[in-house]
Amino acid sequence: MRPVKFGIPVLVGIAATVFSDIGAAHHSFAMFDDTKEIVLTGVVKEFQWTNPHTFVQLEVPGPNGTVIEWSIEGSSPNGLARLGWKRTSIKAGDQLAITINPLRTGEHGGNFVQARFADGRILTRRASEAPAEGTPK
Amino acid sequence: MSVAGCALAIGFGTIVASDADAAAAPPNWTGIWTRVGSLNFDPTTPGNKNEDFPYNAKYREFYDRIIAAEAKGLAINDKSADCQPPGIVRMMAMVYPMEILQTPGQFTIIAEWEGQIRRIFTDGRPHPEDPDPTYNGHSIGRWEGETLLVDTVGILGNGIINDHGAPLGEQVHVTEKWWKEGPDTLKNEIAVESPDALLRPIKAVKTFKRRTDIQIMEYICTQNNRNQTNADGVTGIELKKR
Repeated sequence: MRPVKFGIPVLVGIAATVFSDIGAAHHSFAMFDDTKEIVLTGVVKEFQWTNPHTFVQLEVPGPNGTVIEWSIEGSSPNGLARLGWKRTSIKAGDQLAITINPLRTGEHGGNFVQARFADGRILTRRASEAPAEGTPK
Repeated sequence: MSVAGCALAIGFGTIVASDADAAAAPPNWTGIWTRVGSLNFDPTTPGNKNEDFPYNAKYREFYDRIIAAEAKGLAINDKSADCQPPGIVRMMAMVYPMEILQTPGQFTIIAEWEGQIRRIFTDGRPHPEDPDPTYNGHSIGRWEGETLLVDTVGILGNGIINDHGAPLGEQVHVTEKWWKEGPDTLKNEIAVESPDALLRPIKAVKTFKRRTDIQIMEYICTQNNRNQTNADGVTGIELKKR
């Protein structure tokens, strides 16, 4: 299933390198259901720009005034930096709509697919429009 | 150019290298290289496809169990989830770039992923008689013209072949042939024997592209590993709660 397209230029990517299967490097992604995508809208509590994986801790309003914290796993800084990400690409306090492949268990976690900022910018996990293996120089 | 050639060049301000020197000098592939293709053992196969290997009955049963669990969302035999080094076979899938450094008598491969290092001795030394098994084994190489032939023994048992957890046996022996194909393409034909698990050797050709636009980055798996395996050996995710 494809995420909704917003028709807004992507934040990163044209000259970036694609590392195919990048997510499966450190551990198997079998725990995530990659046939499903859900969108979480909330406020970033913390962005962990760390190996072996980045994490966005997103606070999402729940029922009856509650707030649920989601742990959203992304690729490593090594993979993402080469797609144009920086440690400051996501900051605490950012309001984001994050698309994830959810955990099969239904717990509050998932695999990062893309994030849409309040101003419409989109941050992706891979530059699918980029040349297949980048351009060796 | 040989050391003698260098000395002459410095001494007389002229490069003096005989044809014999030129023929003897191995090619120099020092630089940064990135993988082409999937993370599978055979990178020409799609990464989301479980590769098949000629396992004996015992390891067939184990691999079938791994694949069946994966299909249910339960990853087992997922050693790198606990930050274990990948071992030589899976390392050569080269998740992230590698840097090759050539110095006299040694061909060194630094893999960015897990910061793994392979030292391939090209100074003519033999393997140790009874090497202690290690993740990346003991590698010796020799140049045949512009081809590097590498033999690796002393590899720690029960490693894995690919990122789907395809298992290796207790006994593992790796042979490789490295050559250039054009100015910026490097080929690595890798053959893996594991006689207590595989009925015959498996072989694949890896392709790497030279990169002058990137640098090797640090990768320390234990910095913030939230994916350790649980008591049942299944890869997990540490969820933080508000």
